[in-house]
Amino acid sequence: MNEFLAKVARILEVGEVKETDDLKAFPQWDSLTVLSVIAMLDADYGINLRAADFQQISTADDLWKLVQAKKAA
Amino acid sequence: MDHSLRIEDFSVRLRPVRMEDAAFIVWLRNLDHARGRVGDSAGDVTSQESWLRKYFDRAGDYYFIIESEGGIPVGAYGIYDMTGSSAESGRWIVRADVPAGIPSAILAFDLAFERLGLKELRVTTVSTNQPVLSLNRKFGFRQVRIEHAARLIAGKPVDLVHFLLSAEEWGEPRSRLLPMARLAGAQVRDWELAQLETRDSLEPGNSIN
Repeated sequence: MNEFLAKVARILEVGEVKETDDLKAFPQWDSLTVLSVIAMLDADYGINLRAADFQQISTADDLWKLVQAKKAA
Repeated sequence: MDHSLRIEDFSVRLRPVRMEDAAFIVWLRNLDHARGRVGDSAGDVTSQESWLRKYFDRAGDYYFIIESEGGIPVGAYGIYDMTGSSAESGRWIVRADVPAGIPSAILAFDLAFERLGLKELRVTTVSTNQPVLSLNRKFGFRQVRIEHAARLIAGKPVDLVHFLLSAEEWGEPRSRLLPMARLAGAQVRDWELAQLETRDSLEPGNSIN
């Protein structure tokens, strides 16, 4: 998960993202960030998420669990 | 202003607002992520229709509905308060579940600079609207001024942050945003297909009994 958190941090252009961090609380979190995360998940994890999927997540851990659930499906 | 401007790409279209859009606009402006963050709002359909009647008679005001290729409305946007070759860019709201923000912004700014011949766009954003402040910067807008306690929202004073983007400055961020606009366009198309499938499944003739 550390690698995943580092990738999200790079997109947000912050030094670190923790599992418990509320992603929407980052000032840089906007619709372009959501698209960048979608592109990263597709390229690096082979997961196709929709923008609407992000409405149900708050923390980085929520997003990671969603990625795991999609991979298992 | 009763205009006829349209622009379309990335599975999204900007088309002139119509009187029958009043109910959609009221619904849109009362969504959680929009309420209290956009200006001159009408609280009900009758008031919105009255606002639109005045808008149709007003020069230099271009109000658009953002819709999918198949014509499902997903947002709204406006170019107004024109002063020479400068205008305000705003009234921008997109449904939170449809990633039409980036495509609609590219279309809007292209239309402003290329079709309307504007040299500068101004944006005013309330300081509490962090996602839009962030997007303004990624679109290349320069922050030029903060107007302290300029507006009351829910009884509390909030600052207004003023931004500018020139036609010359738009080229670089536009190129950088294109791949994301294409990704967003594909997602809008998928969203529209899902909407149409749901609608079809609800048609009486299509039910399985």
